[in-house]
Amino acid sequence: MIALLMALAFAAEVHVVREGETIESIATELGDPALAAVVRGENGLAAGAQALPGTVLTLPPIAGHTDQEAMVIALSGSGEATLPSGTFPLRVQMALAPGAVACTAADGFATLRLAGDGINGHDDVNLMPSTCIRIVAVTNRPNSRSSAVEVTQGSIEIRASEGGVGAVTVLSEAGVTTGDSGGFRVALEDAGAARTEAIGGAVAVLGSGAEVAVSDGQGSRTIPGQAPSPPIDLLLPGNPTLPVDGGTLRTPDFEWTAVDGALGYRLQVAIAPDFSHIVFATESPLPELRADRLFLPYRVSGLWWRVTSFDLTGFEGPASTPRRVAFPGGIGQ
Amino acid sequence: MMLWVALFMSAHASPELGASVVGVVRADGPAGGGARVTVGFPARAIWAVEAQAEGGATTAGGYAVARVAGRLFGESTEVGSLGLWLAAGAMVDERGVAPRLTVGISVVPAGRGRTRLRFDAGGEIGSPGLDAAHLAVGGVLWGNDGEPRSPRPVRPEPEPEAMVESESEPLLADAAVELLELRVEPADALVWIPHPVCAWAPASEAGALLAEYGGEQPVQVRAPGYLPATIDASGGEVTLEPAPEQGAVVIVGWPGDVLTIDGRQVPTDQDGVVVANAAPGPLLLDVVGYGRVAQVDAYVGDGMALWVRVPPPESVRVLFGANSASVAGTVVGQVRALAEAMGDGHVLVRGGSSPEGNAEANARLGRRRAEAVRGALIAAGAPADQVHLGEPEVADGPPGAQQRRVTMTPLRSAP
Repeated sequence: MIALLMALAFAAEVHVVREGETIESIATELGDPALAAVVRGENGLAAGAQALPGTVLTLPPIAGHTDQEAMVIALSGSGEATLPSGTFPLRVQMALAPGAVACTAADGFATLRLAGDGINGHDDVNLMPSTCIRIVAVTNRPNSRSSAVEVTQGSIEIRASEGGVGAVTVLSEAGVTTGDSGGFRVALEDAGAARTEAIGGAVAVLGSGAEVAVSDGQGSRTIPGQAPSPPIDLLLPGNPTLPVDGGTLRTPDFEWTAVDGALGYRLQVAIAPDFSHIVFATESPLPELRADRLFLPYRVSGLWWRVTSFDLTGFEGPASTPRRVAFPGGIGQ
Repeated sequence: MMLWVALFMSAHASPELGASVVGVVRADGPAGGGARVTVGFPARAIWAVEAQAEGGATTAGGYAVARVAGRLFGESTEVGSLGLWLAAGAMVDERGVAPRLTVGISVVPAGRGRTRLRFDAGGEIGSPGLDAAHLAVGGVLWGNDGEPRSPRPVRPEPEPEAMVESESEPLLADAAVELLELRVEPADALVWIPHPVCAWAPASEAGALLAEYGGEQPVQVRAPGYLPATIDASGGEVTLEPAPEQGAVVIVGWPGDVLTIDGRQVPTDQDGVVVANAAPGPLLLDVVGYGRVAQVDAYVGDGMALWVRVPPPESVRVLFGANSASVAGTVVGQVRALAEAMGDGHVLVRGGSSPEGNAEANARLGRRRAEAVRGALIAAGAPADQVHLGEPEVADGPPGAQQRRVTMTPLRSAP
């Protein structure tokens, strides 16, 4: 019963109140000004009361809005999902209803499909290792989509939306990040702080009733009880130089150009060129990686790698253009 | 209220239809049975509104009940759903017409397709208390594919214009869905549905999806334990080949290293790299070269390639007495150890001396020390063409014993 009540608490479509919005304007945007009273009722607001920016409102059922479940579409390593019926190992094609919690293990990478119209558009999230998210709401609307997840551990990347408006909202203890086209990361830090990095579109970061607009290529940090920090510029990535694009990964060595101001670099290897299926990631203080060991699946269509740079305060910038590498000859033969 | 109901009905036009056989025991003694029909409208994956109509007979006479119920349920694709429902309605029997409140639980085991079994148990509450208990077993017919809240790719709604055209001629996409046949073995294989779906789909569902989104390019098919394959997006049959239980290891050593895998020597390329396939499991690598003898543990995973970097060789330094170029004492053992584990590698031998006194004499002493060590290496079995003399070393610290030395430095190739 507790699980059912938890699911109830998280099942409804949500809307993040932005600066300048009122309950009436939200109802009008939903297509019926009369819904203002219903929205207030659903969220315990008195007649005429307004919600602060950053408030996550539960919406009533809206005609034409279809509730969906999230789905695991890629998995490397291991993870687990907590559903009302118990805890199960994560697997590809697993459906995750609102209220479900998906966690990756220390060796795990997962990609979840959030809202999708099944035709032209979908919104996906990458879970880095040791990350947990709760599915809050996944809704397909006419000509747009809306998804909300809560990150409770680790870091996630909301991939750039495919096709049309795919609003994705990420909740954390410190605040809320929301964007209409994906392309941002949210990483939890110590003491409940959250770091937002816009790497593929503009987002809004909200906390303590304040909103900060973060442009593509900028980041903002949110600390519980405080307004989000003003946006700061993210570092550009280094330029991958070794292995050359299309070259062979004979030795586990990678090199890229140094970036001024970088405290370190992160390298990712994926088996899909859009990095929807990451299989390896690591950090290096230098613009190179000489791995002692590297463990990759070889029954795949290809390997791609990319790098990012992070600064002294931990903000990580956008990724370099992916480079393709081939396996040495003889593998699997 | 009317607005809310209208919104609800329009947003959830995928009803569940149910029919059940009911057993009834009344609190005042009579027992009997009947039939129940249910129309439900599930919403948000956790709650539903239902209308129930039930009729039957007990030993006391006939009865009929009409109810409106709210059902709260939890659901998983693996187990099914468990629900709690509360209904208000009216009952008519030989005692007359009376309002009834009903509390029930429902269990719908997991399954695929559009039909499910449904079990209900509950109690009628009237005035002054429990009026009857009932147990119902029946079936549920879902209004859609049975997994209504999953983001499965769906087909677009046809535009109004297209619907007009379809009255006389089927849509091209519809025709393609019917024509495309895709049979994949094993049955649990997944097929990659390309952009804009960008997701793996079960082979059983892939035919229709590829008909619409397949395009011209071949698409990937994979299944656990099988080699991946590509198929023509226009359909057909494919049987995946079972994948051999095999992994691969890429050993990255130094040129000239002698590598053995589980006791079997394997040839390295000019860069000291070996690519080998092996059965999944632990692997023991032995490395000999440049004076080092190392063992490296590795584990090969099925379908996984493991790159292992062998610890690089280090320079070896031996010390001499003042004004001495004699290979004696501990130096002999160090030189012999290097010679015996040279592999096919090359080393550069350079001598040094403490900087006191005449610089030219010191350089000559350093050279003599290097020649002595080179000679000792060759005498101990090192191939002469792999041991190279270098220029005397310059002192890199204060005068003293540490400068009276010979350093043997590994080289990746002959100088």
